[in-house]
Amino acid sequence: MSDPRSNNASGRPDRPEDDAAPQPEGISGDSGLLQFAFNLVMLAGFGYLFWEAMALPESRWEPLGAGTFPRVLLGALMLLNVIMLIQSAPQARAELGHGPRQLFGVAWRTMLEFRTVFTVLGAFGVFLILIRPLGFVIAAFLFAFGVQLLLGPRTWRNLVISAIIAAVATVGLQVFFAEALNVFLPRGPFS
Amino acid sequence: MLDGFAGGFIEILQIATLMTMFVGVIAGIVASAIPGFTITMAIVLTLPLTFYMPPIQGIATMLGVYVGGLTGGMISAALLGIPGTPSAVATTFDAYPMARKGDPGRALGIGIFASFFGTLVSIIVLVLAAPPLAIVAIQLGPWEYFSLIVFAMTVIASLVGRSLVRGLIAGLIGIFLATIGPDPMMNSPRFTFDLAMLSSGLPFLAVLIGVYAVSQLLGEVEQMRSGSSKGEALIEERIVFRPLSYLMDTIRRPINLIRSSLVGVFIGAVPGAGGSIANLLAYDQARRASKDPDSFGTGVPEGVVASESGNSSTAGGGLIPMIALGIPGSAVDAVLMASLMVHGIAVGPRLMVDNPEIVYSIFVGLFIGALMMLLIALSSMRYFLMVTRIPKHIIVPIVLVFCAVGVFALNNRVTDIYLLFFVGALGYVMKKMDYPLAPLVLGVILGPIAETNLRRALSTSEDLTLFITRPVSAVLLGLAVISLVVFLRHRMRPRASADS
Repeated sequence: MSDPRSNNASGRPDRPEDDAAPQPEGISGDSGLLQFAFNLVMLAGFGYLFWEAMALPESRWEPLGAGTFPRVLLGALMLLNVIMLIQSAPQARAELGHGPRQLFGVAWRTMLEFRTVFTVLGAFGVFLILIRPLGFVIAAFLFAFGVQLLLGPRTWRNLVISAIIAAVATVGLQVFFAEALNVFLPRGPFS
Repeated sequence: MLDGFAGGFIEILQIATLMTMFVGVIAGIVASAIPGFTITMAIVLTLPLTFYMPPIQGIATMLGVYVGGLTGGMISAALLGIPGTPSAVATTFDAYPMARKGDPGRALGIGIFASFFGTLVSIIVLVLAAPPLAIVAIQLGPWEYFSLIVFAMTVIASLVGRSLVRGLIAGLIGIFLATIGPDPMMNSPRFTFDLAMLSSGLPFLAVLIGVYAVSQLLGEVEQMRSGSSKGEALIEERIVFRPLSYLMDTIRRPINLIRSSLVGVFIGAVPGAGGSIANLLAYDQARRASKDPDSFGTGVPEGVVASESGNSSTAGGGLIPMIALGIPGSAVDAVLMASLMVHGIAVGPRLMVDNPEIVYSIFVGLFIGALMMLLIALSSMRYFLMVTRIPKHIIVPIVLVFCAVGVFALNNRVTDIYLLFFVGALGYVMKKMDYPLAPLVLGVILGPIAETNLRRALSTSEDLTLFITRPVSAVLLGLAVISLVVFLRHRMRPRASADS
């Protein structure tokens, strides 16, 4: 993110032609197969949205209706995804040659490698869903406390510190926003 | 004029005014450092407090919040890689890598001085050139606006990374995301699928925070997954802060500083544009003018100087059409204008004639605000730098909670934070698949302005040649073409040399 030229986590070259030989050990942005699948999904998604855009109303008052601009965008996106598919196809085909068993192994290892990220993302989603039924303070406390325990050292000291930080941050935010800014965060049944 | 300035200084240098300005600058810095909390929100929240103040004290306080806010957005951009405000997006490109390399004090120090000098340049231009610049800015029709946005979109070219196709896809996805919600001309819903959370479109800040903050924080979690690094801070090295050295770092780049500031002044003077575009455009121009453009994005001072002077100088630029013609250059200027109107002062071409003391007080207030910002930021920066010592396992969940609160506070809607989740997940996936995120954000900013003005222009006249026969529009389109040609030539050169 911080590097506008090579905005990727792996730091590998962006051009497919710069890529090294297919390595089934590495997945995420490195895998031609994953890139191919990703672009295929995007192509299908943009195709569906293009079809949706065809139903947008035209205007008798202006030459461009509500749908023209999105149709142009989505058409361009579909075209660019086709280019990406063509670019990543040779590498994807080479990776397919490793056989389904090896590919499944790579996918499984990647899942394990990213399990902490998925857990934090999932916890964030649960926190957002719980804001309404539990209120901001409780939901945010559970999230902040839980994630600190998940990511931090599992010691009694960290447990106490995490609980204090989570409580101060969530209650402090609620009070600050309500008292200083007149913004009232959702209150649950126990607030 | 000198009498006017003397009067302005007398008005501003009152104890009560200075005190409320001081508090305003601190409030602006703190508010903008929170991801999701914009300068506009801080100014709007300050507005009711100014009703009970004399008009000059009120507007001086709001100018303090404004100047402080333009700098505060840099703090989280440099230390966490999360732009506190949209005007600090480009600051993340170089200030954050610089901080991660163990020099967060330098990243913040250069940013503070660049902000200060950017504001100074904008005040000078505001004083000298307000009337003529305002007249140019106000004569822009939809053709010129569209051409201006086309020119600004060429910035995407320098943000695409090494894969042009992926960069273009990211930019177009950004523009597409901005089409979700009510159509800007006919108000008919587009791509909302009868979902309440999409019915009013994607709030820009939810996209910005989702794309940058959530994906950035998940990236930090990823780095912690090995277990051995658990509990590590964002920056492990000892933090140093040498203000004099950072001042020299900044003023040794006078051309970059002045060019970026002038870009900011011009963009600020164009109604509807503002800091969110100015920082990216100034960064892009600095990169193109650099002898070593490839070093941009790795933590070079030039990038920080360009972004921060570019966004801070929009403060003076935005005031140009407001003072000269009564047209606010941005939402912040509209609130400033409202604060004067509450006190019965008509803002418009007669402001300079009827209330010169107000105009000169604005000039002086902006200058004093910039000075206060410099003093406060430099003296408090050591405390801000302590953020980088906090272990990641604490930073990650707490900042995610802050992000959720910031997005909720935009419209008091829980559905907006659901959008934050989806956009954050999208940003993370795109980042992992090597798609650059900066073009996406730029697309979200520029897309709606481009569509609105294109449709407005074609509604006025279907004659497409107006885009090239109207002089200002033609110049802007010409600049866009030159910009693209320069980019393509630069891009081809390494390949050609590699082939040979």
